[in-house]
Amino acid sequence: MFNREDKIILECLQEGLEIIERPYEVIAEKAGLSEDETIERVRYFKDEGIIRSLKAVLNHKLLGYNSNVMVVWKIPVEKVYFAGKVIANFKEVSHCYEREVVEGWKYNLFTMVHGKNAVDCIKVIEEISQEIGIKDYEMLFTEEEYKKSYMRYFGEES
Amino acid sequence: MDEVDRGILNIIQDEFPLNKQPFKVIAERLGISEKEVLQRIEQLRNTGIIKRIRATFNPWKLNYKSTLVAIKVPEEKLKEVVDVINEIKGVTHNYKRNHEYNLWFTLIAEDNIKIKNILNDLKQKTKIKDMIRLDSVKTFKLKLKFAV
Repeated sequence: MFNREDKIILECLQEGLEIIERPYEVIAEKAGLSEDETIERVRYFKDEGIIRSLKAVLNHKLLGYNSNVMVVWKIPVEKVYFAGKVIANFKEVSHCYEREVVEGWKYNLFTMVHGKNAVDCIKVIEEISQEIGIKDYEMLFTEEEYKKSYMRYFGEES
Repeated sequence: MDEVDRGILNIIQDEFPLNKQPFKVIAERLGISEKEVLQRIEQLRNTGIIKRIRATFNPWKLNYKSTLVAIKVPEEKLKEVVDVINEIKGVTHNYKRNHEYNLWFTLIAEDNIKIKNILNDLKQKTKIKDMIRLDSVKTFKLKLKFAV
């Protein structure tokens, strides 16, 4: 799927760019490509959707975002698309997924809501509930983060 | 943090420039020098506000599968179960939530069979019976951006 140069580039991007004037030049040297070629490859990975985003990952707690809630909604099938689109427009919402319904679990739409505190989150959730006309939901606040990392697809054995 | 820091964070938490001199692109947008951008980003990284500038990948495009799993764990077993789950390489997030399903984790693996095997193995190791696997059907939004 990826050649040797691709894998080196992707691993570098996965681990993070250096804070230097020409961060892509360093990656290019490792991959044995020119800086232009390297940037071109990265552009290709972005265009293909392999790279979802290249950006700064921030520590939201240090920015004062102390509360996050997973809200699960039971939405009639014919309304899911509408609800998903409406919810996606809320800036306080980072994730919005439709998920399979399984035995013992009736909720089919999942949203992550972030706020400075629980009260702020609840306010947003009530607003969403009003806009989509759905009252059947539960709020699952985060009580403890036991693991928060990211997947290493590249490097080591690959 | 001042207005300039906020300006930098707002740009780079959205999209980092794909340009030979990305920090110069940011500098030009904010009307400051490239050197100042570099210094400020370095500082924001030292204070921990910026964790990394990195790529996030779409697991599906890399032929991986991902899912969300919820389990019911008795309080007295929580630590032990958490340790077992955190050991799994494909688990990226593992949170305790205020619900009867009190432990929620995301799992990424090469294929469906691997995911099934990991979950079966987990059930055996922890004796947890109540486990639901909630595969995604459609993504409406996936964008982490904080007002700073």
